[in-house]
Amino acid sequence: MSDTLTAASDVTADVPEYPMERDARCPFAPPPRMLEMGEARPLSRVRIWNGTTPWLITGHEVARALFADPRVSVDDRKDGFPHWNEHMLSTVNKRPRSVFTSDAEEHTRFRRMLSKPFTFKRVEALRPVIQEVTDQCIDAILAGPQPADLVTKLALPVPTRVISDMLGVPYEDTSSSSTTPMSGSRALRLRRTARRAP
Amino acid sequence: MKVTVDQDKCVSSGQCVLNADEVFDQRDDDGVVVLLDDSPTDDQAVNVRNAAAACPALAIDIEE
Repeated sequence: MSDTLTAASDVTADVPEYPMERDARCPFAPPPRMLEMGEARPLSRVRIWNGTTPWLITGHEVARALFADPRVSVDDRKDGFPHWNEHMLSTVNKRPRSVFTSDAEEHTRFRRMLSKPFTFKRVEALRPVIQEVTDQCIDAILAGPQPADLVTKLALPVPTRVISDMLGVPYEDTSSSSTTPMSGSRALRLRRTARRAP
Repeated sequence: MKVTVDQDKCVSSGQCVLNADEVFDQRDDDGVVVLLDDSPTDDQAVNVRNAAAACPALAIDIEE
């Protein structure tokens, strides 16, 4: 099945390259070509870095149906899996298994380990913490030099501090903790930023 | 309106509780859907339909 889905022989040469270039005037929107393809049909072939032509899914109804279809796999060890680049392919057996790369029972086992802290009510209960952290960051921006960088002053410290709070890791320890998703150097920069704040 | 849920399909996304917290809840241990009311009132119908539409696992069935 995966051979059929990714074989280059049965598709024409005008298959577009993927990923596609975004519009520089609107860099957060999906690439214009992808939006055009999505309007034309819900499923299209694209050509990726290694010359294979996996399906690009752009239709909402099709995506919903496929998400719930047990014949669809996210297992990145399977032949024909459309890896992002050569590095991801070459390290596939060195990365730990996770909820993002497993199917069926294995996926369910991972997911149920993760889902307890992310129920609607528990996430909703984080609202006061998130509000407080956000308020502190904005106060620091207003009190500091202008203009401020929203990434270093808001977009990075808010999730880092909220994650620290969820994990029970003191925010001051973030730089030395390997349990946060941030790199050490980035977390260190955040810590320094936080210490400069009033 | 008659509502059924499939706990085996549920992926604990919580979209149902977000949309209709009088009809759906999540199990405390793993976030799996719990149906609080299988016959919601007309007032709740829109919210329940939104919950079913938002469920990424298609785990909510509605009979009108």
